[in-house]
Amino acid sequence: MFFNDFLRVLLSDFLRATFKRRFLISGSIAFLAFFITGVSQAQSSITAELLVEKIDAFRGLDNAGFSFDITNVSYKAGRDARTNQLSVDVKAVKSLVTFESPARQKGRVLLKQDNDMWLYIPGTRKVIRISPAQRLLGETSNGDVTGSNLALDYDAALSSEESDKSQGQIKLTLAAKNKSVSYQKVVFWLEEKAPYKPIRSEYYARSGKLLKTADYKAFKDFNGELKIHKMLLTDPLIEGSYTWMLFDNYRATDLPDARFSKEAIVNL
Amino acid sequence: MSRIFLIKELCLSKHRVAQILGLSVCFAGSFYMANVSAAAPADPFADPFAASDVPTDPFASGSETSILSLVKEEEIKPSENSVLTQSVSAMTYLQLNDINQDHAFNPNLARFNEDKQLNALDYGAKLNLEDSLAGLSARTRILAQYEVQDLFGSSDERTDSDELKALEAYLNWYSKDYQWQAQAGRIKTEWSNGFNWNLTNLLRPYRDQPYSDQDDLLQQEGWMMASLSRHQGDWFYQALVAELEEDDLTKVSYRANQQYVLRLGYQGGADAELILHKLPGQSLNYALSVSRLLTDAMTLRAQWSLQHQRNQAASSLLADYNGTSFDESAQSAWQQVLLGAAYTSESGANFRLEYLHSEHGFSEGEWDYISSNSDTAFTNINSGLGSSADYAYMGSALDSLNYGHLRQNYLYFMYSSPLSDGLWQYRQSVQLNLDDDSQLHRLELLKSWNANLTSRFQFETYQGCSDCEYGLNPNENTLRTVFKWDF
Repeated sequence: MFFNDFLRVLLSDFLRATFKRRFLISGSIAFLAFFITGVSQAQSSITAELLVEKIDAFRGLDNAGFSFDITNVSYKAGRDARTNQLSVDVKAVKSLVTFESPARQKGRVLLKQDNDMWLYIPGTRKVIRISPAQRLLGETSNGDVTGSNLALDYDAALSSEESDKSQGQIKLTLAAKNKSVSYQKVVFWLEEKAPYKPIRSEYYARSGKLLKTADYKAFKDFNGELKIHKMLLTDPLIEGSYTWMLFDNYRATDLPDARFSKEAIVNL
Repeated sequence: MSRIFLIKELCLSKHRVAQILGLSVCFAGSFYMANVSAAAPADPFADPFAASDVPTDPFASGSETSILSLVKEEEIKPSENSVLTQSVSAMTYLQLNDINQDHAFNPNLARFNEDKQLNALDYGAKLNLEDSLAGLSARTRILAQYEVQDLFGSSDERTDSDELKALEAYLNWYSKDYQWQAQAGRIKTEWSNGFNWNLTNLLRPYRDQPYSDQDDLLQQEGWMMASLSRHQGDWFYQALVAELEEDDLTKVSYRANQQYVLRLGYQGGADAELILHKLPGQSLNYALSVSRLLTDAMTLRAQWSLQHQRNQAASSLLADYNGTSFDESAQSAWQQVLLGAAYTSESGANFRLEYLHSEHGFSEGEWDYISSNSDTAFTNINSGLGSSADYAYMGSALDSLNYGHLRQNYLYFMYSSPLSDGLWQYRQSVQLNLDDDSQLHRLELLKSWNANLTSRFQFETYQGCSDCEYGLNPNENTLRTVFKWDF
C-alpha cells in the first residue's frame, strides 16, 4: 500500500513539474498513471490473509477432496540419489499419505488432521500418534508431504521492505499461532501479480534457525486451477542436501470425511 | 572495477526509472545484484547455490539426472484401486544365546536352547470386490515359518518346527460414505496407543508381547469375530463379538465361547477411547486410553485398564498365600496404568519414556512367598527329595516367565538416532523393573541396504539378582541378526 501511494504521489508531481507543457507525453504518462493507479488499487485489496489462502490453494488445501502423487528424489553429497513415492488424499484440514515405495515402507499410512498426526504400520496393525517433527522420510518432513494449512496455523503480515517490492515480489511473513506446528516462522516470496504464485519460502525453527528453503519451480494446471508441480527443498544446515519433489496426477476424488479416520486407515 | 561501477550505475538508473514505471529491470541474478549484494538489502533470490552443485531437475525428460529411467513408468502413474493387492516379505534371523546356568526356577527340568534360527514368509492379499458389491473386499495374511533350535548343537539336541497359519482372513465392507463398516472373519485388532506395553488390547487370549520379542509374527494372529462400526464426525463406535478360543496361556476355562466388546472413541487434538469387554461369568472389563500432541515435537499418552482376570499364573503359585486358599484370598479386579511421552529433537533423534504399573504382576509379599516356595522346591528336587508338588510348583514358576510382567512397576526408556546418510540407525532401550531393580538392555543397529533389504543387529543383556525378573530370564545375553526382504 505504501508503495502504491508513493507511486501515485510521485507520478502526480512528475506530471506537474516536469511535463507540464508536453501535452502528448503527459497524456501518455497520465494514461500510464491511470493504469498504475488502477493496478495499485487492485493490489491494495490484496491482504496477507488472502495471499495465505491462495498459497494454500496451490497445495490444494480447499474443501473439495482430491488426490495427487508425490515423488521425492533426495540428494546428499557422497551418496546416490534416493527416490520415494507417496499417494496423497487431501480434504480441507485432513490428509492421508500412503507410502508406495520403497518396498520396505510400502503400505504405511500417515493420517493428518489439523496438526495431529497418526502413523499406521501394517506389520503390527498399530496406529500410533506421532509428532509433526518426527521424520518418516529422511530429508522430507511430515509437513512437507501432508501440507500445512497455513491460513489456520499462522498469522500473516505483508512486508513493507522496498527491496522486495522493487523486484516485483511480495514478501509475506507467517508467525505460528501455537507450538504444535513444525515451523514457528515461514517467510514467503510471491509474484506480485495474480495468481500470486509462490517463488520461494523459508522455514524457521523456534530458535530462529533457518531449517529449510523451498523453491517453487513449476506449476501445473488442474481443471483450471494452478497447483504446485515441482519444488526444490534445500537444507541449509547440510551442504549439498537437496530434495526435488514432484507433485503430479492431481485428480478430483470423492473422499468421504470418515475415510480420514484412524479406524478406516487400517483397512484402506 | 570501473566496468562494475558503470554497470552498477546503469542498473541503478535503470532501476530508478523502472521503479517509477512500476517495472523491475535489474532483477535478481543480474550482474549488478550479484556484485553489490553486500551494500544492498539482502536479496532473497541472489542464488545461494551458484557455487554449489544443485541437482538438476530429475523429473525433466532428457535430463542427465532424470529418474524417469530409474523408476518404472507405472510407478509414476496415478495410483489406482487395483483388484488384487499383494505384499510379500521374507524374514530370517539367527540368535545366539548365553544361557543362564544358575536359573532359580530350573533345577534341570527344562533345557534352554543355545541358539535359534527362524525363517518366515509373510504374505498379505487384498481382493477388491467392489465391482460386484460396493465397498466389499476380502483380505488375508498368511504366515509360513520354520524354526530350528540348537542348530549348532548335536543332532539329539536339535529340534525344529514349522507353522503355516492364516493370521488373518476376513471380509471387510464399507458404506460409500465410510460411516459404516462391517467385518467378519479372523481379524487382528490393535487398540493400544502405547509403545512398549499394550494395556487396552483386552481380547483373549492375550498375544501382544512386543516388549519381549518384536520378531514374533505369531503375535499378529487375529481372533474370529464379527464387527460393526459407525463413524460420525470425529467419533466412532464399534460393537464386536469374538470367539473365545482354547486359552492355553491363561489356563482359564470358560462356560461359553464368546466374548463381547463395545468401543467408543474420539479422534482429535486429544484422542480418547473407552473399551468395555465382557467375558462369560465375569463383570465388565474396562480400558481407557488418551493421547495428545503437546508441542510439534512431543506427544503424551496414558492408558488404564481394569480386568477381572489376572494375567499371571497366580492360582498355582499363590495357592496357600496368607494361609487361605487362593480363591478365597484373591482380589476380584486388577488394574494397569501406563503413562508415556515421546520427543523428537531438532536433529531427528527420538526419545520415548513409559511408566507402567500393573497389578497383574506379583506384589512384594506375593513374590517373597513365591521365591521362598520355589527355593524349597528347587532344593528338594536337587537333593532327590522332590515331591510331585515340588515339580508342579517349579513348572508353574517357569511357566510364569511366559505371562508378561512378574512384578508391578516398570520404566521403559528408548533412544533412537536420526537416520544417517547411509541409512544406518542406532536404537537403545532399557526396561527397568522398579520393584527388584533388574534390567533388560537392548542395543540395536538397523540398516536399510536398498529399497527391499533391511537388517537389524541386536544385542540383549539381562541384568538382575537370581530371583529378580530379568535375572530369571533363560538367557543372560543374546545376539540376534535379522534380515528382511520386502518384495
